[in-house]
Amino acid sequence: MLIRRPDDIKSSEITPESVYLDRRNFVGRAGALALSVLVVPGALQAMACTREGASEDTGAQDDKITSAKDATSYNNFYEFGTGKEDPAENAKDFQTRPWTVSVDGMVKTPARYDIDVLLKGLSVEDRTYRHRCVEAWSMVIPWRGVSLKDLLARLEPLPSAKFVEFTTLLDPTRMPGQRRNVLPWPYTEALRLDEAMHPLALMATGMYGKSLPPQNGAPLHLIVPWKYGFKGAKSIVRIRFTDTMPATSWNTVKPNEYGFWANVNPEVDHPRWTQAKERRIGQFLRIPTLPFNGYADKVASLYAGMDLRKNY
Amino acid sequence: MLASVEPYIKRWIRPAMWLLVITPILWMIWQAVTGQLGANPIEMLQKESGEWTLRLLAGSLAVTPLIRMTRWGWLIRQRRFLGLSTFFYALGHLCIYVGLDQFFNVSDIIEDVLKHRYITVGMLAFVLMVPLAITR
Repeated sequence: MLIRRPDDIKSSEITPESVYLDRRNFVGRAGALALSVLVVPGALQAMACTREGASEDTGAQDDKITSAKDATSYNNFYEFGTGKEDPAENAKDFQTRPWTVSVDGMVKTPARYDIDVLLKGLSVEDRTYRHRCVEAWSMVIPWRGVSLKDLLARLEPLPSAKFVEFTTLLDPTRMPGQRRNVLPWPYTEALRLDEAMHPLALMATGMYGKSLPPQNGAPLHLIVPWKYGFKGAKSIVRIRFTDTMPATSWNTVKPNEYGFWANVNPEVDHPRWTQAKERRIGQFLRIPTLPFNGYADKVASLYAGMDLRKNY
Repeated sequence: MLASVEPYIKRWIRPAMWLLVITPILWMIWQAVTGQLGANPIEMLQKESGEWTLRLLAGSLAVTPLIRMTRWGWLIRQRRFLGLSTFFYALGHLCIYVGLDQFFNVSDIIEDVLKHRYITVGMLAFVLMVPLAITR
């Protein structure tokens, strides 16, 4: 006869089946948690931070706005140093008035404009865009600025113009990073004219409802949200129209790493960074990167018929 | 020579070495706890832990030439200490990469190791250090 003995394991001590079946993930998560608690309360803290701010209907509605502190203290702006925190430190006293912008090349009237004259009468808009760096991190930034299309139209480019080039200020006395030859100074970037005339392209003069801080490219910072951030020239002093594709800074230095087009593309990897995912600043887990940074429905037609693997 | 230096080593050199090795870790923890790692704390931790691994590695590799030059045989024990410290820094660096940066995503890690030369080199360096650490 079989006499049942009472279980010598209390039911409260029995691992639930669901946890048992999921044990590998459970251990993984526990390990991750332990590690996180051990070394990065900072990261968790950043994760827990709530961000506020209304976003415009510009494609970034579902994205939480990056904290202004992060967006103004983590910058790639080699004119003020190559470290992420260098620009905020070294650009502190950078003066952006008076400021002039030269307009030349294939344009009706080449001229030098005072910045306030150049922008006068153009409507200033607030637009929240995703910002994707080629280094596989991203932010969501509420820019303020004028539509690039409106600005360029005012300059009256000739019908023969096919490209537009933007040049950053060259002044090693005010931009200490230019005393080292990390890039051929001044920094230049360029767009095909139809890209520049796309309604999404913006000439930013401000962010977070205020004027641009110098470390973020004051007083004029080009914003092309479907391209990697390096396309967005900062502290612009010259706009030139031309019919041949201009040489651009990063493309000149490392053509195999930085293409002229630089459209955000999760399928084409940079030699040093996988572009399939990105770390959104302020979040812990990497998120998938979207083609054209999520603006494909608006801009993909610009590149119809182009091989985006070759033209990266 | 040995007899005169030995008590001095025991009293000062070893605590100094411990201090050297433990300070960067405490500094990183302090920065993490007080939120001083900046906008991208994971990247910052990765960079700092990697750089300290390289410094310690350079230090361990410098011991043998130093012994040859100075004939301070007692330094050999410091080499072992520095070598093991380097290994634990490398392990910490790897844990930050696997657990925080990649969040245990095995397929992403494999792709990363195979595709990107600097990751390949780092992983290879770690693998090569494992037998050295085990056999001390």
